[in-house]
Amino acid sequence: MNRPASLLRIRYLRVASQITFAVLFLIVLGGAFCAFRLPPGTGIWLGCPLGSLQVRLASIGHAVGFAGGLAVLLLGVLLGRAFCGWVCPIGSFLGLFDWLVDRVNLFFRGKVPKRSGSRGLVSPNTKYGVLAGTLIAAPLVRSAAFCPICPVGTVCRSAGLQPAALGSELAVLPVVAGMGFAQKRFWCRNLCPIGALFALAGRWSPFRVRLPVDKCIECRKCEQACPVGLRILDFTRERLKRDSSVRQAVLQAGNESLLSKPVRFERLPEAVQVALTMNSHKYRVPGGDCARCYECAMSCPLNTRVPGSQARPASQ
Amino acid sequence: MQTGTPSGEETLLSGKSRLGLTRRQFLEVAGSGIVTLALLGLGGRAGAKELLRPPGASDEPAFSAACIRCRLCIDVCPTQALRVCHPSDGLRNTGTPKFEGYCTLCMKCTEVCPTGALVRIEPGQVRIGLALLDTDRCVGCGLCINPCPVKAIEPTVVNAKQKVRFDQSRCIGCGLCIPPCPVKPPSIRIVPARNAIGGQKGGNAT
Repeated sequence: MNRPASLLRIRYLRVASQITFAVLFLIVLGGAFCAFRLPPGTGIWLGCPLGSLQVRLASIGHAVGFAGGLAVLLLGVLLGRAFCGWVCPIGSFLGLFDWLVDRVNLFFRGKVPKRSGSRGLVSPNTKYGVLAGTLIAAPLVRSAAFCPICPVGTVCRSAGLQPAALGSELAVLPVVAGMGFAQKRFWCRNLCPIGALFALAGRWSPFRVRLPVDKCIECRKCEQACPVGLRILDFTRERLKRDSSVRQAVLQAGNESLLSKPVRFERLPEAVQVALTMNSHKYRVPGGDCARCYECAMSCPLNTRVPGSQARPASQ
Repeated sequence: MQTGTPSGEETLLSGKSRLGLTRRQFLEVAGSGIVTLALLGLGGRAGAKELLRPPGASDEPAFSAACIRCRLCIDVCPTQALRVCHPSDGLRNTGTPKFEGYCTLCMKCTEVCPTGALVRIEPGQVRIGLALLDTDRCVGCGLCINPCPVKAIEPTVVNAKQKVRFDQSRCIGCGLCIPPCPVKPPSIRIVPARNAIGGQKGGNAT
């Protein structure tokens, strides 16, 4: 597959970002992920949105600072779960874990078993329940009850290479990684309440991945490439085909089943081509669970340009 | 699968029904919510062990509720007197700071605390814990008297032997009296304030 170099660059950028943030959280900031202060004098801190919400809910009746978490949550409204793919040290660790498991399988069995199927034992909706349970538990036990077992928190707090910083709560890490044998990124996609919070915030994200949906040949390579198994075509191609102006163009072309099978864009009547192209920007990868990793765009055999750089129709 | 979501796995955010959840989605969220609530509820109550806390944490319940477990206080402490709690200190306390050393009352931990779990208070109001003296092992050298920032220690004579005694109403539990103590292990230790009042053996509360 000849992927354009400009797209592959996004993967390098993402890995560079993951390494940078891992070094930042685990070494430079000495493990302070849950909250850290920007350079002295600014007085600004940033922190975990879930931790901040829990602390706020646990301390009802007391003044408590949680602005740093809210700021990060606002970033989540802009970028959804981009945090999970570009920043989160556990996301990076599980990505590395998946990569290594694939390499080991390749070496011993000659093939990589498909573990990223979109349907698993546990529904991705489970994480919203975990989030709700966490936020209800906080005021009841008057403590940020999730933080003691948070994979991100336990790992970041254990950083700094002090033996005193290592405790039995670190057992969460192998448990979370072990879940990956059932399904890639099992923790991230099904259980993580921080991810759930970003996914809810990302509902309104204006930055969503654009694919060349108008020219889509429905090969579903994007769905195979998606690390969290999103049903990308259902929300892009299928909806574009049901778009009213596309329907109209298809009906006018006189062949109602024109788009019912995968078809080459070039073979379509010009009016249908125009309708597809004019409306494709409306149907992007849904903003909630997407980590903005652009693996789908990289895998797309039709994508020859940097995502988002495609000129929008003049009517826009 | 049983309930007919046409495209298989429709998640809450991307599903067709934006406002209403399907019955299956509701059960998934409610079920996992109850399980999480039960687990975190149990874990949050487990191990209400009493710990020594940083100097700004005068109100334990308020501190415990507001601590975001970020480690900033632990990293800033110039005497490295703070440690991360682990499940052995109680699951509820895991990730919070505990005091294990001595405090110079610089109050830097209260300055870095992002949530205000640690509050800047006057040195006289600090009460990390209380010093508990093992009178049997105290040699009465008096080396602990000068370092005490609140002048809570004075020489005394017990059974015709030179000893020291602590004014428990003044003692702030900073632990500065411990490093000079020549007895091995030191004859003074800091205990949580509630433990010290009342039933102390070998101590000499005034």
